[in-house]
Amino acid sequence: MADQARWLLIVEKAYRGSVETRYADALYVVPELHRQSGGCDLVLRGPAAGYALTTDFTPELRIGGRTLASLPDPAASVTRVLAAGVTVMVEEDGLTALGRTARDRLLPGVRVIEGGALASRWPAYEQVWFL
Amino acid sequence: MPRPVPPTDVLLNLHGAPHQTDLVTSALRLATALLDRGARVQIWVCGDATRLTGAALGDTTPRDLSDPGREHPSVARVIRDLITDHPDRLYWYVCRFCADQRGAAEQIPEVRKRSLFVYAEHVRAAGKTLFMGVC
Amino acid sequence: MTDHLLIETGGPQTGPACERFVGDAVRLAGDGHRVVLFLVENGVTAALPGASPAVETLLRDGGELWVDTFSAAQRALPAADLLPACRMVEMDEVAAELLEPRVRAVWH
Repeated sequence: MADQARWLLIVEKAYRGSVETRYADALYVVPELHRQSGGCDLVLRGPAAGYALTTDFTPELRIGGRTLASLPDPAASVTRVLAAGVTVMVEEDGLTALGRTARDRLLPGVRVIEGGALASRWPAYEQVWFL
Repeated sequence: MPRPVPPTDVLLNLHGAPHQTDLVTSALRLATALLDRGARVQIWVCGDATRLTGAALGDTTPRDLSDPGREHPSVARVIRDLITDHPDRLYWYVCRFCADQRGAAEQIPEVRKRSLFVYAEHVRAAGKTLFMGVC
Repeated sequence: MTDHLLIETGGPQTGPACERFVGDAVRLAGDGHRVVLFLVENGVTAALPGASPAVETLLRDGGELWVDTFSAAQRALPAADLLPACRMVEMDEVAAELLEPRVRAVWH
């Protein structure tokens, strides 16, 4: 994790709506928080570990006669967060719970950490938030 | 004079809140699938889900700051088009009390506000009722 | 006998609520009713091997397990990682089941 990170953001509650949420998913604000804070680390815990996996999911859905092509795309969101310079970690137990091949499908750049182990580093952060 | 409730094959009760789970998406997917099969559908909405069709949402979402040139239809617009595309087969009812309580009294004109006191009439007018989520 | 379509949206991450609901499905199946358990939204994680003992009991007792294709893909869960007995379905199939007069549906 980056030494300069000041805020620790933990995302655990995952998949919080699609049609009403669209591009503004749970990670949408993270690059901006990273910029404003001087550095954020992001941890994906529990069900949110799935955000860190590659998938053949097409973020598209037909509602009546309209096709919505801007549903939340978790893997794309994590990629965008990584590109902004945020260190992204995923807890191993969350990853393991997502099936036998989950570990093999981790997005490049995401680090695997022991579940709960980061708590011992909480005092080093200015802020610790469940986002 | 109370208006009779048009008979439908299915009543979907949408009670869970938006932006918390994929309940709204599931309800709209299921409604689409039912309509595709030629069914008549009514949707009764309570709680925070009454905001889905609030007039204040307008036709488009706020701009995506990472892609400001692209417009996205609001969820209210998506629902409005779903209703207008299925005349006499899809009815969207909003609980008046819940909408008032949530500050969503102003609704898009395609939905109908109803009192909770007539709720059972809607259940009786449906061949089947599915109760989705809790307020 | 009544056919039942039970719809689980939360999955094991919601704690005992999921197991209790699947337990309802097990009881109905044990009473001789046809039971389809449809997993959708976060509920699809209950189809992972070992995730829900009640789901595996339901399958042993003759219940059917349907998993929403869209929700599984959205959660990066390939069908090959799920219980072999589950059937991946589209919402159209659920709509058809719901429209069957003999079927009672319960959403959880």
